[in-house]
Amino acid sequence: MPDIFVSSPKKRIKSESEQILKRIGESETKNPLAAFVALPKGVQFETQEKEEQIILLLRRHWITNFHWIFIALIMILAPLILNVVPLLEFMPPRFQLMTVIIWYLLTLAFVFESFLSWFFNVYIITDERIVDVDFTSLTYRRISDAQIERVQDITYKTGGLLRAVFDYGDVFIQTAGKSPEIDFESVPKPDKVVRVLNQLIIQEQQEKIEGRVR
Amino acid sequence: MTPIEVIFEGLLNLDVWGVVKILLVLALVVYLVFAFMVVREVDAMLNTLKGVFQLPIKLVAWIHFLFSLAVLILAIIFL
Repeated sequence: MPDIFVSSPKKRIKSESEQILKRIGESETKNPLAAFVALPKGVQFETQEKEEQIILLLRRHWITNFHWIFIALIMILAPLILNVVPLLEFMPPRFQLMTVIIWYLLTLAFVFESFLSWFFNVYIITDERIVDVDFTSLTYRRISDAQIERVQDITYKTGGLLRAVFDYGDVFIQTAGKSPEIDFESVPKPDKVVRVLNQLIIQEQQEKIEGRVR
Repeated sequence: MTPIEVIFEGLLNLDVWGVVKILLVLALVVYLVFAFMVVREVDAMLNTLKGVFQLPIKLVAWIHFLFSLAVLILAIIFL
């Protein structure tokens, strides 16, 4: 007898992913600026396969941005000091004005680069693999990935007051792939990340047994 | 006048702010190249991770580039 209803592989993968997230008490995240994004809508990465589903998109916890936001605030307010302490008095007035303009140009560059570094250095967990996207400088980027089935060991580390209060830490994933270790640094809810990875490993093993390997 | 005296004479009559202007303009030209590299970097980043915040991020990269171009022109004309 022919099957009356057969769901498409993409729909099946999505519902499986939703179930995994449900088990750890998470659901689809709407905020694009979040550091812990579950089932991100409309997000794709360069090497993503057609039927591959992103389950988690992780960035460093937002509190790790505090230091550059603090520096940026000081940079924005610094020219106000000139009203009290005339540090640029030795310059002609036109050079004084140019100095302040250039200062704000550098401030904009600093804020933008810091934001880009946080926003685009991401860790992605799909139903098939783990991807680590690193932008270390203007021209250098490194994308390392490992298949879920090649994951051998997962550990996570939290410690210190700040990490305990804001619930973030590092996840270390040992693999049998080309990149022997992939580290997720300062990601939110590391315990949930580990649980998702563990469930994906179990799911991958089940798929192997059932002969559903892609 | 000996050559050393000529050098001293030249140094005494040197327009310091003129030299500063030339150095500043050169630095701003280098900065403009950096700003353009940021635009290219943003393109590469957006190709790597597509989807969210594409337009605002591109816009800020271009604003930064145009701002640095404006500062360079201002330095050449204004100083």
